[in-house]
Amino acid sequence: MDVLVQLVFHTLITGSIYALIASGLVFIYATTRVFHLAHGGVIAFAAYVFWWTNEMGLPLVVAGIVAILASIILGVLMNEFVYEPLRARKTKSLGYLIATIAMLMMCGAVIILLFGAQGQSLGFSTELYHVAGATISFLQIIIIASAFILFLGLGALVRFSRFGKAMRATADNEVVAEVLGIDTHAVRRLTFVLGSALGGVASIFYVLEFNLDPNMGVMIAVKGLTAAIIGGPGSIVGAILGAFLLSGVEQASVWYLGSTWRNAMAFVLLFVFLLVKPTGLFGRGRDF
Amino acid sequence: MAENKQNGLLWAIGGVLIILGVIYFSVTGGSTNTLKIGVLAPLTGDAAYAGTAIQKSNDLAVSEINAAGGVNGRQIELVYEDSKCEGATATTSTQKLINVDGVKFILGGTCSGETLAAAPITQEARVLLLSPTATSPDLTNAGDLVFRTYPSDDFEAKMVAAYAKENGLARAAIISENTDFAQGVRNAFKTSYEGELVFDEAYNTGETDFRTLITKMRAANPQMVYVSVQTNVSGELILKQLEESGMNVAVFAVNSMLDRNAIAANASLYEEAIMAEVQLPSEGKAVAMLAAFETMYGSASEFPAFTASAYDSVYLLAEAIAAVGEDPEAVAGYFSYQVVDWPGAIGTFNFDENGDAEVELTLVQVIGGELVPLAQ
Repeated sequence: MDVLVQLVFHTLITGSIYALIASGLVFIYATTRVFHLAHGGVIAFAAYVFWWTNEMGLPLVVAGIVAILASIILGVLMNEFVYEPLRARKTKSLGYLIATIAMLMMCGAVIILLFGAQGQSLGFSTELYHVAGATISFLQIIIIASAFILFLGLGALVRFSRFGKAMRATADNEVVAEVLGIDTHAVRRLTFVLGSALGGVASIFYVLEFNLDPNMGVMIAVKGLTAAIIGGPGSIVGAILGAFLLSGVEQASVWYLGSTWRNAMAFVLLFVFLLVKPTGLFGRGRDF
Repeated sequence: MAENKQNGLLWAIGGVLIILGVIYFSVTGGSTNTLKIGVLAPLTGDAAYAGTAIQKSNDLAVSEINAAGGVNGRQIELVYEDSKCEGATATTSTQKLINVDGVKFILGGTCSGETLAAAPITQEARVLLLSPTATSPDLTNAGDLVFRTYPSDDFEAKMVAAYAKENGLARAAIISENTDFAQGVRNAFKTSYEGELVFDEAYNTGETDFRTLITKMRAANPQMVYVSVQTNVSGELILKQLEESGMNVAVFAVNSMLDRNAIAANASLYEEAIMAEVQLPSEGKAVAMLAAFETMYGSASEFPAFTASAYDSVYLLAEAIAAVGEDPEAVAGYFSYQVVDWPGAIGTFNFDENGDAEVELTLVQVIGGELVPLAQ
């Protein structure tokens, strides 16, 4: 067994899920300037919806679509009923932060209310493949592949579509964008739709790979935030690379130091970046 | 102006007094004729599957005792506090049970960590603590008023170690969660295992990604792995990722993984895993209890041994209070000297000199989603 190949696989699998979380977070931040930590709660909620719909007897694909829809609806509701009213009152960033943390906590409470406090697992497993002396499951290949396809699609959307241009304009200067006739509210709404959809995909993979816990949203938000800060908030490419770097550091710390060091080393990485390169890998010179 | 302020202050003080009075009477003014017994159990969180199973078993025993006239003519009232399987929460819950509800006897906790946190408080207040399922070896010396009705993990660890020796499993690995219970099993196994311990790593509660840990374990090339987890939530994840690693190793798991519903739901993950459980007698009290459980809740108990242990703990306590009154010290004396070969649902039962249960454990193996006693 080639240990290095195996560790690279582990980095890619967990990194893909982190990257899906972080890219949604950064996508939303870049346009709306809100660090949407409740994204973790949205993902946790969608994960429970996915698990529950499947338990109710619907096939995984249908459950997946329902989960993505749930994630989009919850994300958009948060924007329309919390962030937009705050924006209308010209709230400072601290206000958004308090609101988003409150919603993150509320998601955990709502999950307990609807689905019970018990952790759950789907017990899903797929065929194993042996590649270069290491093992990887079919699901894990799907996770890595779909993450990369989604990132390419997201990149193309931002770069080349009309919506992407409107989004970048809104991110650059909201007032000027509005003067030019861009409906910035609609742009923000659509940003939440896409960002939350990415979160929905992340939630499906999370459930299939790991398990469910009503308070998982907090850890998801922390991992997403860490990856985003490492990559440079505002840069999607940065967030994706940050996610893989974070995952790599985690796997390496489990290998060299032990499993209990995993989160500690992730925070050391965050600390080092905040200290040495607070702008992250990709700085804040250009968004996206 | 000054007078106004003073009036306001008086009103405020009066209001607070009224509220305090209402709280006081609502707490103490309830039915005074019932015998209140506190219960510490995780009713929410990852360990809720175990806590609610214990709750059902307690309620079954109490409903039977109350239907038969209660204890010395008084009905038993169980006061539940959610301890969440966390030491910190258990501390508050225990204090609430003792200081607010005024209980003299507490059944619980379900987890070892919460029981270890509760023990110093109950000892100090001279309240009797009787746990049905906390199995950490550290509880053996937790105090003279701490008892339990399920055998310590010392026995389980010794049995696993002996089995490993007999079957030539000379290289062992341990994966353990950072909790009192899981570390207790780990330490007990380390003490009694005679082979070479090639891998011994802990992880923090909430961890979901065990792949690199398993890869590392695989590199150490063990013949067996002892999975010591607090709940089956992370336990199943370890089994799943172990299976996905393609590693071939004999798996042993701790008693928190004994949930029959979970085993049946994910039979392939558990296949061939070995655990230790008390085998209930195939006749008498145990059979009647399991039947009554099924009638009351509509499904069979997922933890027959823990159900029996909790059921017995209620009966033991009721019997002791009926005999010697509501004095925790006297009840402790009754447990130590009068409970001799007591016929329980869990089997013939005795407390040893430390208040630990003397009941036989048996190794069981998962075969096709069922727990089958292992031929020794």
